[in-house]
Amino acid sequence: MLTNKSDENHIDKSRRGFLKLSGRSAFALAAVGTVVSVVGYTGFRWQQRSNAESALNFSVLRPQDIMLFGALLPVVLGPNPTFRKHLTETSNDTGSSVVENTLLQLDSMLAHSSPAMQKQIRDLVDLLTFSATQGFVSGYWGNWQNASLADIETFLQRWRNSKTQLFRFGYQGICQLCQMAWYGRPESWADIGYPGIPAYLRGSHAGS
Amino acid sequence: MPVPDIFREGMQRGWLVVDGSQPLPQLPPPDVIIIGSGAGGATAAEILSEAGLRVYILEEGSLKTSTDFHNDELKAYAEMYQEGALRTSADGGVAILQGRTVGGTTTVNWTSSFRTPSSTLAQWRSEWGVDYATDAEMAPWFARMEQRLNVSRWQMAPNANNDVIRKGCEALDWSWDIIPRNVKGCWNLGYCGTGCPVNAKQSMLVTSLPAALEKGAVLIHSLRAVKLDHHKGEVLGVQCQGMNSTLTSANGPKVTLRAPRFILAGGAINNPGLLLRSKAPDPHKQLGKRTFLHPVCMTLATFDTPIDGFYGAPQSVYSDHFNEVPADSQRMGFKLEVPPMQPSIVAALMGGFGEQHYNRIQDLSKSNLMLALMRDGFFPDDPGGSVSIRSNGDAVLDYPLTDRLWNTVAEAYVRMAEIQFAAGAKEVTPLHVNGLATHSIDTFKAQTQKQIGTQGFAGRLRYEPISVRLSSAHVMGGCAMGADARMSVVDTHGRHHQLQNLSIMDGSLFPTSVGANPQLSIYALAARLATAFVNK
Ligand SMILES: Cc1cc2nc3c(=O)[nH]c(=O)nc-3n(C[C@H](O)[C@H](O)[C@H](O)COP(=O)(O)OP(=O)(O)OC[C@H]3O[C@@H](n4cnc5c(N)ncnc54)[C@H](O)[C@@H]3O)c2cc1C
Ligand code: SF4
Repeated sequence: MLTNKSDENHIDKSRRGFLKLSGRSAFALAAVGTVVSVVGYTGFRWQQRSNAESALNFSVLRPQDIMLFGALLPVVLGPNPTFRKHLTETSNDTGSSVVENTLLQLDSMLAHSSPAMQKQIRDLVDLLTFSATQGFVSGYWGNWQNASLADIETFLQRWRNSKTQLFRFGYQGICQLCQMAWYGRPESWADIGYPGIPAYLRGSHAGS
Repeated sequence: MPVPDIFREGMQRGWLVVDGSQPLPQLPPPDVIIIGSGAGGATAAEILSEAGLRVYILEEGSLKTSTDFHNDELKAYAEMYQEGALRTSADGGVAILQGRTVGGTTTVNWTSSFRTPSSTLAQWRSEWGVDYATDAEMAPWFARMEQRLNVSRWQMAPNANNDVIRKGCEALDWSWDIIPRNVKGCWNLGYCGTGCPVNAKQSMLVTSLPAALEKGAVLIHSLRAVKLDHHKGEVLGVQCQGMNSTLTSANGPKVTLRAPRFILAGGAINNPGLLLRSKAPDPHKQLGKRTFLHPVCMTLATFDTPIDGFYGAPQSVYSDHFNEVPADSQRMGFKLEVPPMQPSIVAALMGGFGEQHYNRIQDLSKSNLMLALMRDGFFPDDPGGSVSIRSNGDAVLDYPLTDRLWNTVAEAYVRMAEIQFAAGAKEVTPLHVNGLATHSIDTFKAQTQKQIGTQGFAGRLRYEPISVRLSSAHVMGGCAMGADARMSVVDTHGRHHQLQNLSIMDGSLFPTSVGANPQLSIYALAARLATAFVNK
C-alpha cells in the first residue's frame, strides 16, 4: 500500500510536499509496476506544505515546477535551432527569456485546464523533486538544475519505457506540455516550415 | 476583417445575451431551460423558440465570436476546449477533446457531416428498442438538418493531407469518398479547430443560436449548471454559478433558475457529471455508463513533396473500407480520416523528445497524419467507459482499454501505413512512444505486430495504455436512450426515466458510438426529439 498510517505523524514541514510513503513502499513503487494500477496515481495522498504558492508572474507553476520544467525543457525540445540560439545567447539556463516565455505559455495552458490536471502536474513535480522519492522514481539523485543532458535523457527514457503507467503518463505529460507550448509560439515556426496564418488574415485582424 | 461578425451585430440589435460570471439582470421568465449551447442544445433551442417557447440557454464556456478567432492554437485550446484541451481519461490513456464555448464543440469542430450508418441505427433498434432508428424514419431529419446547415460534398480539391487517403486507396483498390461539410462560402483556410474566422462554418454559433436569439431566446454564458434540484420525480430548478476567468471552476455569483421543463444538452461526460452531482435517481446504475470515444490511433508519414496539411479544409476525404465488421470479429470497425496539421497539436501528437522529436517536427510541411476512428460499443466485451465525479464535483471518465481495442489498433496501424506507402510516403511511423520510422510495409508490420498475451520488447511495440497514443474528439453516450429502463437513462424520446420534466437531447443519448463523426447524428436526433417535445 502506498499510504502508511504510521508515517502520518512524521511530516517534515520544511519540505515542499510530503508523500506518505515508507522507504520500502517507495522502492516498491519504483520497482513494481502493478502498484500504481492497483492504487491509481490520483489516489496518492500528498500533504502539501510550504511552497504551494505559484511563483511571481505565474498563475499555476510554483518555483519548484519552474526549476524542474526549466531543466527539462531544453532537453525535450532538443536541437531546435531557434530555441538553442536564444538559450545560448542568454546563457545562464533557467534565467533565459526563451525558457521563461515558454514556461509562461505552459503556465497559461495549465491555468485554463482544470484543478485535477493542475494537481496531477504538481504531484508529478513533487515526486520528482522531493528528496525521499526523486532518486527512486527518476533514477537521478542530484540537483535537477545541475543535471547533464545525458542525465535527463536517461531519466526521460526510463519513464518512457517504464512498466509503471504513472511514469509513462509523467513522461507523456512533460513532453507534450513542453512541445505544445513551444510550437504554439510564432518564433518556433520558421524552423519547421510553417509559414503561419495567411497574411491576409493576419492583416485584417491587426488591432482587433 | 471583411466578414461581418453576425453574432456581435445581433447583440447590438438587442439579442438577450448575458454574461453569467456577473450578477444576472432582470430577465423574462422561461418556459424551458436548456443546459448546453452545442450541437444538441442549440438545435433544440431553435426549434423550441420557433414554436413560441421562451428558452434559456445556459453555457459554461465563454462567448467567443468570429472577431476573436485569430487562428491562434494555444489561445483557442485554452479558451474554447474543455479543460483547456488537456482533458484525458482517468488514467491518462486517452486524450479527450471537447468544446467549452458558446456553440459547444461545433464552434471548434472540423465540419465533417455524415449520416448515422445504417448498421448503427439497426443496432439501436434491435438492442435498445429505438423503434424509429431506421434509414427511412431518420432520412427526413437528416435531410432537414443538412439543408439547415448547408451540408454538401466538398467541391474543391482536397488538400494534399487528405489526398493521401484518396491516392493510397485508389492504388490499393480500397473504397474512399469525399466528405460532406457544413460550410457556406468556405475560404478553404484550414483553421476550423480554432474557430472559423470568416463565419463559413455553419456551426451553432452562426445558425441555430442566432435563429433562437432572434425569436427571443436568452443565452447566459460563463454560467455553469452545478446541480438540479428535484423532488418526487420532478426537476424544480437548476442551481447555477458563474465561472472564473480561466473557466476552470465556478466561483462567481450563484443563482437558482426555475422553469416548468428542462433539457440537458451539456454533452457526454458533463451531462452524467451534472446528474451525478444532483443525485438524480438511477435505480439501475446506468448513469454515466456506456460512454464511448471513437478512440483514435494514428500513423505519421513523411513525403518528398509538400503536404502543407495546416492549410485547406481539414477533413475532405475518408475511407470506410474497414468500418463494417462481422459479428464474430475480434476487432472493432474503424473509419479512416486525417486531422489538420497545425504545429502545436501535431508537435504534441508525434511523440519522441530531443533530436527524435525535432527531426519529426522539422518535416511538418511534408508530413501526413492518418487516423483510425474506432467504432466502440458494438460488442458485449466492449461496454465503453463510465463517468464519476471528483471530490470537487468535476466529471471524469474512466475508460478501460480492452484487448479488442488493442486488436483494432494493431490492424489499423498496418492499414493506414499501407495507404500511406501506396500514396508515396517515404517513411511511416506508428504513433506509439516507442514507434520508429520504417521505410517499407514489411518493416512496419514487423514493428507493430501484436503478440497475443505478451509484452515483450525486442523491436516490437507494447500494446498498453499511454504507450499507444490514443485520443478522442467524439465523446458520446453516458445517458443512453432505450425502451428498457433497466439498461438506459432516458426513454427513446429522450425523456428521463425517473425525472418526468427532464429531457436529454445531445450526443450523450447514443447507446453505442456512432461509427461516423457524430455531429449530424446529434443534429438530426435533437431535431426529431425537440419537434416531438413541442408537439406534446
Ligand atoms: C476538434 C474537434 C473536431 C471535431 N470534428 C467533428 C467533425 O468534423 N464532424 C463531426 O461530426 N463531429 C466532430 N466533432 C465532434 C462534434 O462536434 C461533437 O460530437 C458534438 O458537437 C457534440 O454535441 P453535443 O451537443 O453532444 O455537445 P457539445 O457540442 O459539446 O455542447 C455541449 C456544451 O455544453 C456545455 N456544458 C456542459 N456542461 C455544462 C453545464 N453543467 N453547465 C453549462 N454548460 C455546460 C459545454 O461547455 C458545451 O459548450 C469534433 C470534435 C472536436 C473536439
Ligand atoms: S476551412 Fe472553411 S470552415 Fe474551416 S475555418 Fe477555414 S473558412 Fe472556416
